[in-house]
Amino acid sequence: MKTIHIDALGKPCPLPVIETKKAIQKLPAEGGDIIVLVDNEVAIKNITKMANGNGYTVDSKTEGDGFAVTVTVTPQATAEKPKTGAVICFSRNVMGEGDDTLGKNLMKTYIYSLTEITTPPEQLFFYNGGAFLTNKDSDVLEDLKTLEAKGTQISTCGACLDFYEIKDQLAIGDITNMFTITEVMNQAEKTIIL
Amino acid sequence: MTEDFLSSCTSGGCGAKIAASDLSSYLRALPHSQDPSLLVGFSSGDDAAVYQTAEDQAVVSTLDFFSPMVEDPYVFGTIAAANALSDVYAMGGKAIMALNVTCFPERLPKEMLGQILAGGAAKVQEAGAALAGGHSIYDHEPKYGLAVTGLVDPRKLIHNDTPETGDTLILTKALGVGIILAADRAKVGDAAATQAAIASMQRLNKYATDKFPAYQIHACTDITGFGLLAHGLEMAGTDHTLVLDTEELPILPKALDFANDYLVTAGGQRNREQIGDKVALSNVPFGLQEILFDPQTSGGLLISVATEDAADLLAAIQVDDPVARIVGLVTDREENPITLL
Repeated sequence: MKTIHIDALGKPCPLPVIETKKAIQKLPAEGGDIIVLVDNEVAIKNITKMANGNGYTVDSKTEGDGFAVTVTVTPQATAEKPKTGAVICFSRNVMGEGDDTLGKNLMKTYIYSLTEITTPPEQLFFYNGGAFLTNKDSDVLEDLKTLEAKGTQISTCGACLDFYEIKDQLAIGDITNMFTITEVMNQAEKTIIL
Repeated sequence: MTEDFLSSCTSGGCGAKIAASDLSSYLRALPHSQDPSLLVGFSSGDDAAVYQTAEDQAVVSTLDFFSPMVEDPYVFGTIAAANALSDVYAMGGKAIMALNVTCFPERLPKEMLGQILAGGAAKVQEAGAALAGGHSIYDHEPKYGLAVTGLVDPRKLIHNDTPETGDTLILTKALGVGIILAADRAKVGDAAATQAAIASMQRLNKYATDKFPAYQIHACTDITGFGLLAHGLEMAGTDHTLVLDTEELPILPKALDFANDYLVTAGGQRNREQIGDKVALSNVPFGLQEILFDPQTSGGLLISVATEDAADLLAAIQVDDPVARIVGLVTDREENPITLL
């Protein structure tokens, strides 16, 4: 494994990160280690953020008056596979079995949490009782709008909207069919069914 | 009425600049002065001409004008003046005197002309220079700018292509002016973004260069019509590579969104063609590439400063220009003149 040493002592941020990124570009395909000497905690944090964001492992220890931060780059990490979000299916308007008031709150919290995670879901499907979550009186509508703004595709089952006679109340996303739902679930890297 | 002012123009601001490569063969054919006192002339792609008059004094001379890129004639005047003055600052000089260069259509109300000149005069005054005259003609499109004279101690003259290995690069204004104005002209702009772009263009680079004397500045240029990459190429010259971290670039709000919606300019495309394969862009997302090529009207300074001075210089500049950022570093020449991270 190739190791590249960088002396970033006394260099203001973001120079330590820039020098680390530059060294990573110079690593061969099999990866390697970058050991960066820095003299402040902020530099460690910034290098760590960059490393985590790219899927590299990072480790730091004190060395002399400063710190040695080791960033390990492996071939999988350098391959940079685009991270795709999950496909999530909502089959009910509550989360879990048991008390429906609790279930409703859980669902609200879950959808809010989806707006906070780093990689937003790719696609949300709403069918059967889940079809009520996308209508105009739904209390998760605002969070769904946030997700939609982040690029999440939101689709509700047309047959379900017809069955419950709530098609005219649909307030977000598009109307989909079983073929699309099957196709997308089949191709998804990860499907979550609630 | 003001709409007529802007819509009468085919292309405004620094985006209308003729590419250096389209000009260079003709410029080479012109007689070149052998006068040793001409420190900076045609042959260099520097920001302004410099002529030495005494051991400790040289005259900096520059001229810049263009068509409107904003609706308000007064604001246009201030931007044109800030842009024209900038070349003197990029050389490390002090502006002392300016002359108006004005073209104005006979059919438009003369009050508009008055507003342009008032805007320009206000900026010249803010710069502490004297507005001393000018020349005006009728033309089918409005155009305005200034010929600016400055002074510099030749020993403190700052070239645009003399960075040193190990230097840190600082950019003083946010990028994306051209894209935001293109969105505005296409009527899909964002009022707050347009305001931010205008405020940035009106800003004198004087405030940044006022801080220079205390620090080891090795090279400086202002980012204008050719965009960050082309001005960066000039700075890298033949012996150095600029390493720019695209995640550290200051970018005006909404500019990336507009770029991703393909609201880009002809000037940006010309800049892309100029750069060709001199910079490896494959790892840079499309929207960011457009920011790198975006023609800046009255853009900020790209400064190559000794790294030991970088933090202090940045802090000093940020007092007046909080958007200034460290964006990269200088190395010995590597494969390409610019490496993008």
